[in-house]
Amino acid sequence: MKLVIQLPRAADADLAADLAKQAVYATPGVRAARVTPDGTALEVELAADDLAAGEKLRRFAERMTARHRPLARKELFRRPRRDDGPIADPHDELRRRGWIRELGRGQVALAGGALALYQAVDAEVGAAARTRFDAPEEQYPSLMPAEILARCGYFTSFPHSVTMAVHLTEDLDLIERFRAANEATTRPVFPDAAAVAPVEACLRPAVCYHGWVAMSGEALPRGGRAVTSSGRCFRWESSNLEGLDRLWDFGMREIFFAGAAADVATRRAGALDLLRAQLEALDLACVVETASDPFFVSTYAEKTYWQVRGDLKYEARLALPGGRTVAAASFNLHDDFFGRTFAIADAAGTPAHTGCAAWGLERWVLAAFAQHGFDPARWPAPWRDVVR
Amino acid sequence: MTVDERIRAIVARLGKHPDPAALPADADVFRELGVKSTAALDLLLSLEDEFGVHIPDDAFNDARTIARLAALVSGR
Repeated sequence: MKLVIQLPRAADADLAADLAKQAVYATPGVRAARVTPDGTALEVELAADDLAAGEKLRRFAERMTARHRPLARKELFRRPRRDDGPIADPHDELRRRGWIRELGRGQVALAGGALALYQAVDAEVGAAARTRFDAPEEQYPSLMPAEILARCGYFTSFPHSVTMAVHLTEDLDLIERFRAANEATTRPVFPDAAAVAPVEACLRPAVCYHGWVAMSGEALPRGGRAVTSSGRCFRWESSNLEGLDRLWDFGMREIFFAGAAADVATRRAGALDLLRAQLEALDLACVVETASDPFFVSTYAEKTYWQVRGDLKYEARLALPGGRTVAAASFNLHDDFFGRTFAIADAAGTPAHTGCAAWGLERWVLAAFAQHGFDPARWPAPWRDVVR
Repeated sequence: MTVDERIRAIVARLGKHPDPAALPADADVFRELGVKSTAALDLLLSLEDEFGVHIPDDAFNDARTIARLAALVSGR
C-alpha cells in the first residue's frame, strides 16, 4: 500500500531527508518513505493496508513541517580521495568473504579485514586521545539506568530510538508460565506482557553519557579534562536498519571533554584536526559540515534550529556509492547542560561546558571498503596488511 | 503596548518571569533571563508573529537583549 501525504509547505533538502528517515516512527509497517523531488509530498510505502496510518502520517508531516526553519548548513572542509578507483557498495563482497555476517536486524558480526579495520580505527583514535588530549581510557557498561538517561534528556529528545532492557518479574508462577510456553517451540513466546518487570535500565545510545555520570560532582582543573572510551551503543532505527550503514547495535569510540566553554571548543577543534589526519592516512573522501541530531517530531524544529544555529554539531560524512554519504564521526558541543545536570564544575566553579567527538566504527569500515575496494594496492600502504 | 512591552511579554513568557516590566533591557535573554537556548526558535517565531515581520537568522543571532530585539523588529 502506498500513501501520498501532501506537505503543508515544500520541504528543503534537510527537512526532506529527516521526513523520510523519521516517517518509520509514525506508524507501524512503514517499509520506505521519501519526499518527492519537488518537496511537496511525502510518499510512504506500507507493509499492509492501514486506514489509520494516513492520519498519523499526516499529523507527523504537519508537525515536522510547521515550525521548521531552514538554515544553511556550513561546510567546514572537504577532502577528495587520491584513489581514483570506483566507489562501490562493499556489502556483497564483505558477506562473501565472511567478513560481515548479519545475525539479526541491525546486528552484524565482523571478522577478517572488516574486524581488523574496525579495531585499527578504534585503537588509533584511542591512542590519539591519550597522547593528544591526555585523555585516560575508561570503560562503561552497555546497560545504563533509565533514570540517568532520563536526566540526560534522551527520553524527550530521542524517545523513538530508546532500547529498553527488560526482564521477567521475580514471580515463581510468571517465570514458570514463560518457561513452559517456550518448552515446545524454538520460536520465542511471550505469554504474558504483564510478566515483564518495570523498565529499570536501557542499553546506552552513546558512550559519553556514562562519562558525565562518572564526573558527577567533580570540580575540574584549570583547562578542563578529557576522557576516552569505546563500546557498543544501541539505537532503534526500525525499517531504516540496513547493512553497516544503520545498525541497532554498533561500535562507538568517543573522546569527550568538560571544562570552560573555550577549553571545550579548543578540544573539539583538536578532534577535528585528528579527523583530518585520519582522513589523510586512510585516503578517504569526506565532507565535514554542520548537522543536527534526529530529534523526535515533537521537538524536531526547535532543537534542530538550536543545534544548527549554534554550530553545535559537525558531522564527517564519508563518500558512498551513488553520491550518497554516511555520517561516520560527529563533533559536538552541549553548552553547560551536562555540567548543570550532573553538578560538574569548571575551574571557576560555574557549571562546566561539555563536548564530545564520536566515531561510528562500522561506518568507517563501510566507507573505507566502499572507497578502496578489496585490492590492497588501492589502499594507503600502512593499511594494506590490515585489510588483506 | 509599545514595542518594548510586547517583546518583554514574549521574553517573560519564555523565561517564566511573572513581571515583564522588571526585566533589564540589556541582559542576555538566554544567559541571564532564563530563556532556554532550545527556545530560540520559539522566540524568533513569536517575534515574527507579533510584529508581522521576517527576521533574518543572522540578525537574530546577534540580538540577544530586549533592547536589541526591539531595534531589530523596529528596523533600527
